[in-house]
Amino acid sequence: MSGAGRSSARRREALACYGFIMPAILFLALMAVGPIIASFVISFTYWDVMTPPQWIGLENYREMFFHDPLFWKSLWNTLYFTAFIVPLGTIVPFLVAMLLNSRIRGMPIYRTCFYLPSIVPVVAGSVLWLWILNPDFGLFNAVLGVFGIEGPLWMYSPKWSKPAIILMTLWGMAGGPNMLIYLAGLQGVPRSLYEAADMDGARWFTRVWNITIPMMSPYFLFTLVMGFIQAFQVFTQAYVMTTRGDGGPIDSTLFYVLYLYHKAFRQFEMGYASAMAWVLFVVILIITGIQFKLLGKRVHYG
Amino acid sequence: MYPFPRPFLFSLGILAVMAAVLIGCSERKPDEGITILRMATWASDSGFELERAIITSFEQANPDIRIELIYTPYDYYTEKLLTLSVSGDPPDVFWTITETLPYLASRGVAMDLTDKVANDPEIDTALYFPNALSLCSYGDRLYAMPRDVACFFTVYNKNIFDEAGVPYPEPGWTWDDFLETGKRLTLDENGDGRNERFAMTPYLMDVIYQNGGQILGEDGTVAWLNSPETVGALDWWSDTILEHGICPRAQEQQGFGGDLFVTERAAMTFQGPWMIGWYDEQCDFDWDIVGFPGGKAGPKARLLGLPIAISPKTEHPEEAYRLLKFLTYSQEAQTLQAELGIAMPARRDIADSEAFRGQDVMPPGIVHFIDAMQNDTVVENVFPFYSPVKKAYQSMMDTVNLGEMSPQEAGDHYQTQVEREIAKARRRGLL
Repeated sequence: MSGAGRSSARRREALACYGFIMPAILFLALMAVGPIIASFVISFTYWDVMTPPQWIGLENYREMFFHDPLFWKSLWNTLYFTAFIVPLGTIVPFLVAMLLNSRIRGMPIYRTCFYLPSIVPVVAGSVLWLWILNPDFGLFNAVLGVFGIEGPLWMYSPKWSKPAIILMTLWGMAGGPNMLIYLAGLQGVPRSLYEAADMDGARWFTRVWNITIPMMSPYFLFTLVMGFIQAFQVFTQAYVMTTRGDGGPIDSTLFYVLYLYHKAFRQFEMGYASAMAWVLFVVILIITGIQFKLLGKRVHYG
Repeated sequence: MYPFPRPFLFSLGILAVMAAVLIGCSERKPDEGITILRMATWASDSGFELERAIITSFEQANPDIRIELIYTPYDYYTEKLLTLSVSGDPPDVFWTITETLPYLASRGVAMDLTDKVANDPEIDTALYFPNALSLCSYGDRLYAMPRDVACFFTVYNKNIFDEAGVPYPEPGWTWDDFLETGKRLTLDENGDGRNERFAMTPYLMDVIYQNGGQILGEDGTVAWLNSPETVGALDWWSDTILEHGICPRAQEQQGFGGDLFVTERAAMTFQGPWMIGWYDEQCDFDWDIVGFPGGKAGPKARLLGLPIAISPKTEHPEEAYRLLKFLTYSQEAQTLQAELGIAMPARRDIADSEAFRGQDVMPPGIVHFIDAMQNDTVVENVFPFYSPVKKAYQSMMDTVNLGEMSPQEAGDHYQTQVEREIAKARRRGLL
């Protein structure tokens, strides 16, 4: 066959390939890329949905950074949540995974028990925890009471409402997807490494520190990056657990995305909400970049 | 052989089918000679059945019209309404939440009914309760018609009053009487410093009206959060919780589980007429109702209600108006809704008749409620930018009731926040 024939065959192949992926590309362009670009443009407007958008330049951003205390408050609330949930959501599922990786009888039952909370929908879990954390009649304070501790007011106190939501979220995470990822990772660590360590007389902690954790580092990187992204988007718990989804008491659980939702769908300021979304995107981009920069080199890929 | 590779055609084919299906979805087939009106509501479950009963009586009287009810949960109601409007497919007739009506009106979602109603010889607006039409207006224009109206009042447990030897509250009682009565009804049986029985259930916004306050001034350009009236009202109310302990804190009401009044954990409660039927079923004790205790502006009560509006984009304005008039004005529907126990009719002649007042569940004090509706209602000053304002006010209340700030400090703090919202509304042309 001549060279020209081969290249035309390749072109046909390429065309076929584009043909196959076309529906997906079109769908993505229409449903994802389009709105993303649109939201960027909308962020420079005042748009209340009902009347045509007004171009106001950078005013939404100016308002956000210099004149809106609730923006800073919601950012602070979100950072507070993230600062606790990311480390806890990494360590606790890892410990659970280590427990569930040990060889004892009835392991499937334990695994089921630990996994169950994570398949409870967040809304149902939130309602459940609202009862558990009830200051006067809830299970949690009753248990604390047995030890003579007077439990806090949880969702009724601006100081304790965030810890309450962290606690509830952690309950869902302990045996959740992160745990499954770690469990899979743990089972992939070659036994020979442990055997060698045993022969050298290494203790449990030394083995974990020098073998398990380095071997697990790609998994940690993955869950950390995803954890930050998810933590910044916390919404449902506060929406369900506070009166009318207000993010109370006194805006103490007004998380960033919840505030964005209020702006968009309660106050009908689509431009402002879009601007908030882009600021969040940049914040997440920077944090993810830092993580890759700091941790990327230390990750050990088998 | 083929001008395009086969997979390419295949993909195009799939897209074509998808498009055809989508287009097919939006087609509607109207029956011959019958107009279909769509009405949006947030009535659910049993409420929906009752609404259906009223609608059925309309359809019987108007065989050329059929009504489709669209249900959306209350919390997402306005969102859905706006989405339908933006997409060019608004319901012909729709319920509105009073706090969002000015927004809907200013954005052209609700039809201006001022002239239509004024020129309708069959409608005598004097038959409505006072202020009922203000609830449906924005500026000087009418954008809806009132179907239900109501306000809160005091419900009291006669047994607890008897047992404590305290005289029943009477019309014309004041804040001082309330405090005096309340202290004698509050009970800490085991002396642990926590009340087993409170005088009253938690806060109601009406207190600020009783002190002559509002959140926003009449034209919306002034915030009144740190006015002496508003701060004074919050001061007085937070004292009943924090100083006198006759009203529960937020967590205390939650903790008791269920309704404090029904479980006899509170001797009194502020409630609206929609609770009467339920109290009649649930309460194992004698109870009755009386108006609010009066502050320095009198026993003022915020007027609540259900305005119903028409979309300016409706293709059937005449039919929509017929339905609206039937629901909000006709003797038949207003009487039916009273008898079915759905809500208090907006027409005072019907509310003050056997159909409403004379029902078996009604306690004798119902006359005080109707009296309050005639004389003491206040309309909340609502504007298109009200949502963030109301949110600031809620936060102010929480701040005070949790003892985080004094009423004056909280008033000043949230005053600035609301003033900023006013300034922004001005820049956006919402004021």
